[in-house]
Amino acid sequence: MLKINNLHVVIGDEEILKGLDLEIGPGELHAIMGPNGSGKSTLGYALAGRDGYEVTDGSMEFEGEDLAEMEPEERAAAGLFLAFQYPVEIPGVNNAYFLRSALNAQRKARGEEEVDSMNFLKTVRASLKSLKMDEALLKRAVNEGFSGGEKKRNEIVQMAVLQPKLAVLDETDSGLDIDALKLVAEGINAQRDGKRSFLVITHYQRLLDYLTPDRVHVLSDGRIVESGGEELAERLEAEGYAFLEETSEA
Amino acid sequence: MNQTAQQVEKVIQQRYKAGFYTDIESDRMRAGLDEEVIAMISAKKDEPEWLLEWRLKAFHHWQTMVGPNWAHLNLPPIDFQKIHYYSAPKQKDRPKSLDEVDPKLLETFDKLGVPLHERARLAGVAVDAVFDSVSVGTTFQKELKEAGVIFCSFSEAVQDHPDLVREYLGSVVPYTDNYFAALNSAVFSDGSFVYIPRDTRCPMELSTYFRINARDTGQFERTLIVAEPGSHVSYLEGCTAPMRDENQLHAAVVELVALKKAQIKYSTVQNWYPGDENGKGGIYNFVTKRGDCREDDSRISWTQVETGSAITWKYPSCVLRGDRSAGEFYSVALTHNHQQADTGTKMIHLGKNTTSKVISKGISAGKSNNSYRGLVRMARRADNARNYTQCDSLLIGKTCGAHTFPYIESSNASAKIEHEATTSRIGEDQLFYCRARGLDEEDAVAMIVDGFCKEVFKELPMEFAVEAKALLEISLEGAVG
Amino acid sequence: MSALLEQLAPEAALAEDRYADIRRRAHQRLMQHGFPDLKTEAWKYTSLRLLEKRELGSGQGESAGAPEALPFAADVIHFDGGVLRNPPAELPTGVRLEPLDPAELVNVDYGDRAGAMAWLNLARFEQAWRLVIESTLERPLVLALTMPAGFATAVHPRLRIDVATGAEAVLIEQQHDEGAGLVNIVEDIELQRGARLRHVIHRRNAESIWVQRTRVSVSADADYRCHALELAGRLVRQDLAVHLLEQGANGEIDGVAFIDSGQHVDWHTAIDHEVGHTTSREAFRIMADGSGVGVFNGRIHIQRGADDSHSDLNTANLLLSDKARINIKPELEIYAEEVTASHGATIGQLEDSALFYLRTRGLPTEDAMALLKFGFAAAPLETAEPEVVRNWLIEELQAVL
Repeated sequence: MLKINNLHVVIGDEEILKGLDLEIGPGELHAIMGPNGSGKSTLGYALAGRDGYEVTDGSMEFEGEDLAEMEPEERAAAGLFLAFQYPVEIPGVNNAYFLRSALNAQRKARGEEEVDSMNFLKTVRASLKSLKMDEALLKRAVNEGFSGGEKKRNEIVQMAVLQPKLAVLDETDSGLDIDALKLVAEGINAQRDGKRSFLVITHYQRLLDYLTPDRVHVLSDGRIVESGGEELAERLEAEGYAFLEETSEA
Repeated sequence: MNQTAQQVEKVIQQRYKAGFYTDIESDRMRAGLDEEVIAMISAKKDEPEWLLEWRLKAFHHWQTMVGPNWAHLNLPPIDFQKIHYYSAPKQKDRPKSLDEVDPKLLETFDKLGVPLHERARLAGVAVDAVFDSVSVGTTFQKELKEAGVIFCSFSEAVQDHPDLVREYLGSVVPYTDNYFAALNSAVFSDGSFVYIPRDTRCPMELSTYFRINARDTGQFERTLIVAEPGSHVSYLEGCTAPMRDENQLHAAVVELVALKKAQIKYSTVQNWYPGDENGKGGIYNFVTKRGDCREDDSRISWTQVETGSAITWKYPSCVLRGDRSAGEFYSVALTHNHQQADTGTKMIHLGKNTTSKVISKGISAGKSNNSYRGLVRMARRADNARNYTQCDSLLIGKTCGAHTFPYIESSNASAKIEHEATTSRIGEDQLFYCRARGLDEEDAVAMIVDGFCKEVFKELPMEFAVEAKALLEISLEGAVG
Repeated sequence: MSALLEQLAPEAALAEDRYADIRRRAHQRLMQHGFPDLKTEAWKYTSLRLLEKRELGSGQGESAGAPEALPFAADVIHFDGGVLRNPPAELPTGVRLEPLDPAELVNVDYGDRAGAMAWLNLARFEQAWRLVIESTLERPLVLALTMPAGFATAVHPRLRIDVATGAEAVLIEQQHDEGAGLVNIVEDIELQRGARLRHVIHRRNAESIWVQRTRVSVSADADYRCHALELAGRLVRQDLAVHLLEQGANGEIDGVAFIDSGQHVDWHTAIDHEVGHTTSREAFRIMADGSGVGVFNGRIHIQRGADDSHSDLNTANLLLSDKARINIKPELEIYAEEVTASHGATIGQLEDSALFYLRTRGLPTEDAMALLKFGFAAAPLETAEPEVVRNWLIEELQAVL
């Protein structure tokens, strides 16, 4: 599904990712953990194709395609989804209209029929309901006036509607209370069908408690320094990121 | 119940503390303005020919101009032929040190709290004092000289550093700029000159005190500050005048030049006599202040606290020419009784990635009118330029006016401008809350006004901040009524 | 500008009708003051030199044919080529249309040169109508003003609109000019006690110079709301002054202007709180693309004694191209104490982060930009009523994006 090889990413004059390797197979859920400033969000943005995140070396292959050659919308149409750590407010653009435009643009790019509005609304309503979000949000502007938690849940609603092949969730758990966290986790689990893959970027273990990741990676100073199973996340939680230094010295 | 207002008014009626007059013999030129008077001023100062020529050019240009009429001011006609353009305290020769200065003069500045002597040493501030048309003495000459800093009266600079003066005079504010700048260029009598050499941080705060003393006299000083690449300077300016029934004209020009990575901070506490509670007398203050961020990464910051003058017409501005240069303007303008103020700033963004910030606080009381007038212009080349402007007005009483006239112009599609303005009164609930906690009305008003102005006060050097706060309290006495 | 005076206002050509004295007075005032130039504060950003360069023919304009059909039921009064050719056979119940009584014009004053175009109108108007809305209207009333492609002369429409006590109406000015002349409108709108007017201005022009001066007076407890969709033209100048005359009066303006290459739009609005216990709100947005120039001057004036007045003005503006320009001037002039008055103004561009966000959701750049522009520009129209009118305005906006 996703194959990242020796990825170097530079922002301005500063190299943030310094040779990152990562491979995610179909249906797998991987978690990337790491301290602040380790490059977690940079990875998400680089995958989605944000301006100013320059790939200077290495490669990112998504289903055999070179992501670096694709525009952000082409990556989306190919099935890559980024749930933003800070979802952007778009005043004046209504949520439902936005989501439908996005879905249809992706379908069009893939040569598929546009979705009819009845079916669209049905899907959206179901997603909203499962995340315990008010339907009135559909009529409001995208993320505008949403609470922090609502914004995060709204990302999961979008994921459910857009049905990506790979969802990259950038600190979707931060700022959520425990009930919202469970809802988000349920939203993610509901999408796990054995084919769809997930990359969960997080600072804490608590979301992983509900997700059972296949692999956990530790990102430090722009590289994956350790990989393992769920137990790695527990160890990080118990010992903190300080042990990384010992690891790198060792 | 409008007890609030009444009490505030009571608090405010206090006298102008700098309103005394010093009886000192002065050497004064006849009233009126013509080529002869200009030649006489120039001759008094023993000026080189080019400077006289420049003055005359300015005068001829001024004769073709008309006064500005766009400001929100009720401006009575000024008879320029009745004004004396030169007046100086009589002294045999230029004093070589402060010890030679007439003790009466020193006493005057002492009364004003201007530290010319020992206190100056304690305060660590170098002071140039300008009495009517001439500079009477500059402190700390020796220490400054060691650092390579030139800080002297404008007249001395013309004698001792003619090349520097000639290079920069009028390079920021040409004599053609506006009516009052042209007038000043023709008749300016003295002022301060500052030169900070390359990579030098001026070792102390520099300060000039302006005092208008003589009757029927106009004051036309000129300040020029040149900051060479990598240098820093902080400059303070204070102004006072005696209480008189007639209006007196003050038309100054201030030019700042900041070269590469240089920083200039210019602070003013303006306390010219504002006239009495019936609007009689007071200074007409028409000042052109402009800073030129001429080269990359330079920074100019204006801070002003304006409590005086019958009429204020003043827009300290920044021309942001160098890439990444920055301009700031922090202002508190308080008007009371019949005072009128039309003040603000111009931020002209020419270079790329230039930034500017404008914080303006206007307080109107009595029958006064207080206007903020500002211009933010993003020129076509000003890629990624940014401006943020906040102007707030506070109204005290029902007979004053508070106005905001921002001009916002953008020709660059990557520039961003944000402007916010609010107008409000001191809330009954705020006052009540303070009083319920045991503050009397006066203190409560002072505290609220101080809070309103905090953002600006924190930009002032410590001694000035204290003075500014006290000045505001005095100026506001009697405003609540 | 003297050539302009001769061209536009030859005294000999003043109509000798029942307004003749009024016309002569207006002509004299115009000659006395002349036309504004860039030193005239109210015309600082808009030059009338284009008018000088243009040789406008004389005589009345031609018929422009029927106005564009609207997607909702409405009554239409058609000013075809700038004039009412045939008074409508039947007006809706509650509407009266009559020639304006000259007595109404005897004391009007447009001040100095800043008001030159209004003086010009007063000297030269072809017709002056008074429209009275006597009772609540069932459906929107459309004042359609259309100019044909060949239009190259000057017209000076003049209209007075009265909304009677307690009456409610939706009034739509549908203005469409395909010509290259001068349209110089003066309209006065009066809302009597408790009246409610939903005033819509929808304007799309080609090469004409379009100057419109609208003055609205709002009496006690009356409610005036304007929604403007300005689709621009070669040169458009709109003055909209709302005077809140008595307690309980409310005035609101929501507008959006979309300006493209070769177009210049200048909106001057003023909300004047003449007494206390009055409220106002304004939101205006400009998008300037290509080499378009947008000007917005929004003034809030609270007069002495107008205590307990509340006013807020917000203007947000987008510069979409390196050649476009936007000049704005939000003004506050406050003489009363117990008031709240504020304004906020921004000039910027589409947010990169929003654009990126939309693209990660699969929208191509162009669609994403159109969506952001739409989101930006539609906001002021969202409050238009009734819904059919709102939807129409929003569709019209969408069509140009």
